Amino acid sequence: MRRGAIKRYLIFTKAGFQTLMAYRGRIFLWFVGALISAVLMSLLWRAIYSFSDEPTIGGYTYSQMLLYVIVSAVMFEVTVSDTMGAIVDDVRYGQIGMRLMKPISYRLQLCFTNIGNYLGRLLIFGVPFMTAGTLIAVYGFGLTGLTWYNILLFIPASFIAMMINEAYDFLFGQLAFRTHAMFGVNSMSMTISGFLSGRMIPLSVFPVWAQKVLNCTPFPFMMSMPVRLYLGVMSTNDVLISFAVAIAWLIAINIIGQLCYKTSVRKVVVFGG
Amino acid sequence: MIELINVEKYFKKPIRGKGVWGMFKTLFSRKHTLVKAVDGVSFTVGDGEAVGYIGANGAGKSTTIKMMSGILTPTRGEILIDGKRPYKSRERNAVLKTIGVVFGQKTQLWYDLPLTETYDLLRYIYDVPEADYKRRIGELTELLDMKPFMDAPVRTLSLGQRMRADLAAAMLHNPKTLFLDEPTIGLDVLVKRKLIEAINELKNQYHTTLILTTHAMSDIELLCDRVIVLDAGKILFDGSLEKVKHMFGDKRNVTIQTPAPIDVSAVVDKYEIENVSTDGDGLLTTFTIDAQKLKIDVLLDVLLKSYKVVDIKLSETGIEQVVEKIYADVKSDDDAAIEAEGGAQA
Repeated sequence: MRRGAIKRYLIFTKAGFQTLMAYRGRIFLWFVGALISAVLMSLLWRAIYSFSDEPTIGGYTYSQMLLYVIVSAVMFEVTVSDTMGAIVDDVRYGQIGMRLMKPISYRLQLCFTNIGNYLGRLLIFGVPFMTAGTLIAVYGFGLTGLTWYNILLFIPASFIAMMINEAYDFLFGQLAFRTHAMFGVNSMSMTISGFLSGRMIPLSVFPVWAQKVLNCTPFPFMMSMPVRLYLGVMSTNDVLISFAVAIAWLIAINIIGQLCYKTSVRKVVVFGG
Repeated sequence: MIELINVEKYFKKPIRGKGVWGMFKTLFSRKHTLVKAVDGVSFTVGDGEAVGYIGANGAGKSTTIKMMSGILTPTRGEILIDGKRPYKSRERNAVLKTIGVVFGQKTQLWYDLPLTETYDLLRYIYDVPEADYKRRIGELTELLDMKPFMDAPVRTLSLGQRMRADLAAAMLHNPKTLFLDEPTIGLDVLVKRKLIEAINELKNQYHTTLILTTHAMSDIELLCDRVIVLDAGKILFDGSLEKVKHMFGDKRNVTIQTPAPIDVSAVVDKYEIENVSTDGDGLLTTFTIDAQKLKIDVLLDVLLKSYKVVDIKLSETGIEQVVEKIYADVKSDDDAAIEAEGGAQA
């Protein structure tokens, strides 16, 4: 891509960031949503740990599990993709024709807008929430094992996770060109990724065979891997391999998405804006 | 220059059964009918021309505009905009940079962004140099009187404001061609007039080629020099505005409401009235006149003196009536030609 072309798309990142700031109430609701989810999950795990004879579950101590719950709740709010929602709105309100009439790529427009969303969410929500959560886990519950470089590496890991999430969302979002039942599509794709990525429960409590299968899918890289990186439970070797595999998945899903898009967009073109 | 050569656009439409069972069967049926939205349309529009593209609802106007702006691919035929085909992925972006589009029913603005930000976005999308951008945004803001809402998010704009903002957005990159698809739909008379005047000024200032679809004959009269009439996907008429006016005249409808049915023969015999129709159990009577031949104040005077009038309504003729009339004329011409041919053969 030429420099000018990148600049042309970066303006969408800026727009995404600005759009995010447009609704104060929405930002407040994420705070509340993530807070409730983190509090409930930590209470649930507290009960599970108190009934368990082992000090660890799935390899996590309670303080680690607490931070896992907090980080994954924040990760979810920060890396969630707006791409499907944007496609659905564009199709439903007939804007899609106007969007396709612009001399730029619709796909890249969506992707760069979502990067703007991500940055906004990370800044106004992710950073303060994560800082508070980490301080509570370390000073309130005696969590150890966190390192500065892991916390720094978490930033690129969460970025890649967001990008995979977005590509996955784009793949499903294209169904908007073919069906109106997008509410179902959305909740299906969210449930699948939520369960298989380790958002609802850590993947290490799954049976070993299930973990092996899941490791051959992109799902762990959408949530589990960045959270584990943050907690400092991955070996250096593991971290390097994970980054490589995550990037490979990111490229692969985008290629599949692009191939599907070629036929999807013909559908739009046939039926008109 | 815009050239359409024998353009056809067919849509497949599934045949739907009636009722719940029919709908259910449709799910598993591959039967469909072919709808010919555009059926062999050819015309050429020169640079700087202003063309009114009219027809009843469903005549194929929007489909043609969508093909010209690259979101629909013609089933057959060719569309060339300055020699490039907008529906070919390689030539697409080059074409899209030279056109601007305003759809009255849709917006190209970003709902949650302030207007200034949307324009900034468009500046990058179309690679408009900063100096040009600044100059043009200044001109457009003034011409369209947009200063009061430049910093407001688009979602808070009224329809009239939004249409002006949309027009400015379409003109920002100084397109060679501007497609306007029902730009005045839903606007009140005053706002409509202002918008049309602004479009006229833009057209003259930038020498923009204009293709306008509308249901308001007054829009066409103010903006266009040429009219293309489309009916059921086919071109019915292509000629100058003068010719349309000549064919159709300056028609007005005067409808009066009376407490009892009236006898119109006295008025009809004495004055040049083209058509009289009654409605509502004979209480509503509509007189159609050619305003060039019979002054409207004369008619009103006569009507008020001759009958006990409860209510009066004046209306201009709509596009539908123009199309109807042209259709009738074209058909009778065809019939005459066929008859003449038949006569010659006999």
